[in-house]
Amino acid sequence: MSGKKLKVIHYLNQFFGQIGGEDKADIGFMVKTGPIGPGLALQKALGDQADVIATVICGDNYFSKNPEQAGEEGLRLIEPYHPDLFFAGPAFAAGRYGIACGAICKAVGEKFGIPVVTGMYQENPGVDLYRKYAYICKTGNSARDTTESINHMIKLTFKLVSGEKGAHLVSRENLPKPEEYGYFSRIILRNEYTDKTAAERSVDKLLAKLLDKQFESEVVLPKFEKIPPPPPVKNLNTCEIVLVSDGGLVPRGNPDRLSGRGNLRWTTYEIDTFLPESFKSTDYEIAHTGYFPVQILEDPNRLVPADVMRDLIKEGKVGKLHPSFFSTSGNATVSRRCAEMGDEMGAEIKKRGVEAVILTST
Amino acid sequence: MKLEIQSIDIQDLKPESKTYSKDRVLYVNSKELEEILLKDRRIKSVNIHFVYPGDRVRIVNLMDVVQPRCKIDKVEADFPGFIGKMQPAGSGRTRSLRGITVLVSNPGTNRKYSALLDMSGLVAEMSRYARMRHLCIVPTISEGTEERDFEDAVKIAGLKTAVYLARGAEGHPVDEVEIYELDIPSLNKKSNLPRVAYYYQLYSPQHDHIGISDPCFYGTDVRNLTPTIIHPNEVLDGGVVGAHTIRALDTYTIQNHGIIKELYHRHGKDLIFAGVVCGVANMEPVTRSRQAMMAANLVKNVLGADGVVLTKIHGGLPHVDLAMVAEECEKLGVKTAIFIQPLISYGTLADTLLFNAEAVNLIITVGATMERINIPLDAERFLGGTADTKIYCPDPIVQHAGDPVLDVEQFLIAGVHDHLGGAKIIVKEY
Amino acid sequence: MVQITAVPNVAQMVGVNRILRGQSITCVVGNSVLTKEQEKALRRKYVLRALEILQTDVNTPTIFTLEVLG
Repeated sequence: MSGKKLKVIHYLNQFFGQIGGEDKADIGFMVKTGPIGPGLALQKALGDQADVIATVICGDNYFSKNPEQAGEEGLRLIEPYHPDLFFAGPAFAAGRYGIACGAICKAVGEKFGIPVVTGMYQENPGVDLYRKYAYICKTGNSARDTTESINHMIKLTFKLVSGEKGAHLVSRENLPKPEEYGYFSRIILRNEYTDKTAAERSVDKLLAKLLDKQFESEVVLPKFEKIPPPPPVKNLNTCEIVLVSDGGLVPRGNPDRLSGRGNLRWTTYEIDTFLPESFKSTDYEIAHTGYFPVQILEDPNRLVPADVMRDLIKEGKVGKLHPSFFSTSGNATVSRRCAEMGDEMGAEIKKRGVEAVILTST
Repeated sequence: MKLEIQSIDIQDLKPESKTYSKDRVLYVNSKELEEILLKDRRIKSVNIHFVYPGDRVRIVNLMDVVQPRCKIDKVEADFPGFIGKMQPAGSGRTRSLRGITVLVSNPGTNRKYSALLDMSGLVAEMSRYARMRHLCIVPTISEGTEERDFEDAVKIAGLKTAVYLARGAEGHPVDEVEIYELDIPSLNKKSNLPRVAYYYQLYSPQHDHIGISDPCFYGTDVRNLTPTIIHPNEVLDGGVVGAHTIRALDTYTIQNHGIIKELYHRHGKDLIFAGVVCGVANMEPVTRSRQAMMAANLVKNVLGADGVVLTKIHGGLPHVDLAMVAEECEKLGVKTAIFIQPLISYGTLADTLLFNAEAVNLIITVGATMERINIPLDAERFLGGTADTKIYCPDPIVQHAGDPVLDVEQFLIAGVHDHLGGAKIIVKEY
Repeated sequence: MVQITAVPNVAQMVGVNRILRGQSITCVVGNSVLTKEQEKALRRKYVLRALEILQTDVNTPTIFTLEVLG
């Protein structure tokens, strides 16, 4: 590390900031010079590597009314200090405090790109909301462990600023192991070097499974939420149906910039002009690298069955084809974003009063 | 079937007016090799380069890496169906050279996912090939030859070169002899040891370049392959080669097949290696469910396996298809261990699964092969291309081989990952 | 909503309730080996089946096929 002392800002709620208890939870932001309360333990653990130059304090109720906004407000107070490191809490099991710590860490981390470290108990709602944006150390549920938790946060922080290369990772990033440094994983995945080949591991574990012994799968199966099935459509000949696809069908030139892989957007096209009765293959593109697109480009109706839908409407079998076609590309997009896009499209479709959807996927 | 692999550790590779080996040095007459390769009229010319660890060179447009091997006791038997006469691979004696490879580059390729290899800098730390010496062949296409046809010619040229180099070590003392012997018909059924089979997903046609499948099995393509029993030696001894893009599965990796070698290693000790079923990923759901059922049936009722390890090739559909095979195996009472390859680097491990069958509960992370990495340029020259050669990156990034930093997905770097289980890599949540 | 997909197991896994198994990954509601008329007739079958499924009660993720089997 360079000889320069690192500048540290610490965030505390009204209680740990020694302003007051629940009676002072509505109080707004203030800044005090130097470390306060648990900040003293923080300063001690930092030794002469860093100085806690200021403590930002805010009431839990004030913050939790609108955490994103409060995070921005706190950030504006912190900005002039240009900190090298930022700590919040630890919040232990306190929910509002945990959310505040997480939100302010997120704001500071995104703005400055510096390590932002806090501590929470596993059931603190702040963990799931903010684990992606900060290093949240695992603590007990009681403030009795404050000094221990702070030391734990500092141990992780020193590792983060050590400038070492992560020899344990293929990427060589200096990412401390969550199990080793006791923090909640930040919902990212990394290739890690290990002592056994995948072949050795698979055969070892399969033998354990065959002999009814304990084995540890490298991935645990997820639990998907049950979606209550919507009731069936009552009357097809008055029903309006919309066509949606995640096969990446777009006009030539891909004006809405759907991405062939890891796509994050969706868009709509007026179906009568987008896929008319007589179309030209050269008018289309497929923004989806997960399948060989020749057949769809030859005839996009093979993905978006507009031709048949039009016939059925003429015959009176279906009420109406919604004038817009909803297009997106689903190829290696993280499932959370897929769910969000589905929600967004669903909300728009509902807003337009459309009753039913036919979704075609590759 | 009994296969004997005689391995020689080669410590240096040098150009010379005659091809021979002495004191662990392989001397190569590249002119003679060139004449052999040019007999294929699809190839107009071929440049042959000697490449060493530490060279400040970047090899691009890589389509294969091959270990030099040749049959010792048979003629016209190398890589049957590709070069040699059609016959089963995997018996008799094979010479194998360790420490050197053939790098096969197609400078005119239109394939996005062509690999690269640096012999210095960051890649040299990551890739097992960066520590070896190589003969890099770079053929150019002759007039009137079709693109796909030329690719097949380049592939064959790589295999021919591998054979040529191995022949060059004739007479050299051997360092290690390995015996791969598995007489499947007479496997001891009275043994208490669990019987473990291997399901080998060979291919998926979803990425076929211009719609034509790559030949990877005895010289032909396998897009319509019904689940098939093969002998593991056929894989080790040249019956199977990599497709025309590497994507963590080149011919070298197949020749040194991680799972097959591991199962052989433990055969008779804590398991019985019950055999290999191979198949391909299917585009049509009806075929997919039939093939999954058939594969499971072969594993259970023909090989009589208690357990099976399943591996995949790069991609999402291969993942789904493989899981169906695993599910069918579990339904028949065969316990499974399945390889997955997380396709993204954010999310939890569970987020990367494209299946959710309770019984398929032993999942091995072979590697997140699409994890991105920044590679600073250390090379001063390029083989198989130039500084302007495009290197793949997902939209919207456009980059070239000579850029000061490349942002690549790890599977594009030859020798980092291994879909057949030979790498000491695991994917963890961070 | 009904989803027509050539990978119906994934849809079932994530909880889609009405799923119709499609023709193939590269050609969901079509088949390039057929003539134009035959293919349009096949596509019509798929859409009619999808519409039928929209009118069907389900209480759990269900994979339907073009023909009713068994």
